[in-house]
Amino acid sequence: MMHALIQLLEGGGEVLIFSLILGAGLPTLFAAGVWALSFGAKGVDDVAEHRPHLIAKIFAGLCFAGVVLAILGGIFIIVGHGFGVTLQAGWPLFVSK
Amino acid sequence: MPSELVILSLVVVTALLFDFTNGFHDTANAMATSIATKAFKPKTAVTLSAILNLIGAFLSVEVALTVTNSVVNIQDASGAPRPELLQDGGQALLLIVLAGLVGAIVWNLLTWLLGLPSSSSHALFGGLVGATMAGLGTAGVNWLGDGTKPDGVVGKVVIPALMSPAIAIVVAGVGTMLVHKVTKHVLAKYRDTGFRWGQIGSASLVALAHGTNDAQKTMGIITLALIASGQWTDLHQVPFWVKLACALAIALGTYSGGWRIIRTMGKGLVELTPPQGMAAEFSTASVVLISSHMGFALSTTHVATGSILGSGLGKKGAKVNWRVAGRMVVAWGITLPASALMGALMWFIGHSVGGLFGAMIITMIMVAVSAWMYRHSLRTRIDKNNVNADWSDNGKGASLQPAASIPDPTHPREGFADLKELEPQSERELAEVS
Repeated sequence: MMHALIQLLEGGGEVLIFSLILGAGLPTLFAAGVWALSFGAKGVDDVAEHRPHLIAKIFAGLCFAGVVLAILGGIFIIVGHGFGVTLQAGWPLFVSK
Repeated sequence: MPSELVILSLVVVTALLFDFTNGFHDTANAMATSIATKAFKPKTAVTLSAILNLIGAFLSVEVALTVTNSVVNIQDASGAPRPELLQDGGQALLLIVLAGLVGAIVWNLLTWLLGLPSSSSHALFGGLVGATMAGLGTAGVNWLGDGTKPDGVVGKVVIPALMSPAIAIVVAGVGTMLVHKVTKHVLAKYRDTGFRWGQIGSASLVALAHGTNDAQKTMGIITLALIASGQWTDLHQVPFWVKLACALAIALGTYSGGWRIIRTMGKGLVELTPPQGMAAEFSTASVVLISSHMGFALSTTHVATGSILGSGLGKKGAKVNWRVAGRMVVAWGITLPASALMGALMWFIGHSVGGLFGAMIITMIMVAVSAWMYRHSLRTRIDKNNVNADWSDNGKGASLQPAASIPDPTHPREGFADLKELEPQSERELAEVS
C-alpha cells in the first residue's frame, strides 16, 4: 500500500512538473507572440491603424508555430496511444510499446 | 428469443445510453471555456467536439477489455469473466453490469439536471462497485489492488480525484498569471482574437483525448457482457459493431451538448476572459495527456474544473464564485458513493424479482426516472441560445429561474434549494456505503 501511494505521489509530482512546462509554458509562449504583434503600439494615437512591424510579425509567427507544433505533438501522442506505439524524444519518433 | 439474449440486449442498449450521457456530460470539459469566451459559437463548439470524440473513439485501437478490473473483481487479469458468474448464460454478471450502468446513468442525469459537472467515470465505477458489493459482497470490490502499484478504488479513483484538480489549479493559475504579465500592455484587438485561436487548438485536443479515453470504457463493458453470455470469445479484440455503436453514442451525446453543465463551467465559476480561457484549456489538455501518457487514470471533469478555478485565481481581480465551486466539490465527493448506492439498489430489485423480469424492471425504472428528469429540465430550459446569459449570482444561475421564482438574494442559503434536498440523502448514502 505504502509503495503504491509513493508511486502515486511521485507520479503526481512528475505530472505537475511536465504540466507546468507545457500547460503554463505554451500559453505564455502564445502570449509572447500576441505581445510582439502589439509591439510599438504604446504611443500610437489610433489603435485601429496600428500594423505590426515585420520583425515583430516573424517573432510572433515563431511563437505561434511553437504552440501549433506542441498541439500536433499532443495529437500524435493520442493517436500513437491508440495504435500501441509511444512517442520518444529521439529518432525514430515512434517506438512500439 | 431466449431470456439471456434479451438481458444481453438490455445491457448493450443501457451501456450505449450511458455512453450518450457520458458524451453530453463531458462536452463542457473541452468546450465550456471556448463557448464562454466566444471563441466558438455554441453550436460550432459542440459539433466540433462531437466530431473529435467520434474520431477519438475510433483511435482507441488498444483494447480496454479489462476496464472493470480497476474497481471490481468480475473478470480475471486476461479479461475473461469469472467462471462462477457464468451460469445461465452469464446472468449473474449481466445483472451486476446492468445494475451498475443504471445507477451511473441515473446519477449522471441528476447531476446534469442540477448543472453540476461531476465525473462520468466516477459514476460508472461507482455504479459497478455498488452492484458488485450487493451481488458478491465487499470481497468483490478491488479496493487497493495488490499494493505494488496504484490500483483499485483507492489508487485509481479516490486519490487521483484528490490530486488532479489540485495540479490543474496550480498549472492554470501559473499559466494565467504569466499570460497576463506578458500581455499587460497589449492592444485589445490583438489580445482577444489571438487568444481565441489559441483556445480552439487546445480545446480540440481535450475533445479528442476524451473520445479515446471514455468511449473505450463502454466498449470494454459491452464486450465483457458479450463474452459472459457466450456471444464473443476473442479476449484481444472488440467487435467492430461495438466500436461503431459506442463511437456514435458518445458523439451524439456530445453533439446534444449538456448545456446546463457548459453553463456552470463557463459562466458559473469564473467570468472568463480569452487569455484565461486559453490558459485553462492548455492546462486541462496537458494534465490529461501527460497523466494518461504516464498511465495514471484521472477524470477529465476534475481537471477541467480545476483549470477553470486556477485561471480565476491566477488573474488579479478575477472573482471565483466559491458558492458554485463548493456545490461542485460536494457533487464530486458524493458521486462515487451515490451511484454505488443506486447500483446496489438496482441490483437488489433486479435480483429479488429475478431473471428476465428483474432485468426488465430495473431498465424500466431507469427509463421512468430519466423521463421524469428530462421533463423537469424543460421547466428551466438551457440551450445554445441562453447558455452564455449572465450568471445571476443571487440564485441558482444554472437553471435560469423564471422571474416569479427568482430566489431572495438576502437569504444566504437560497440557491441551494435543490442541493438541500440532495444533501441529507447523500449523507445517508455515504453512511450506508462506508
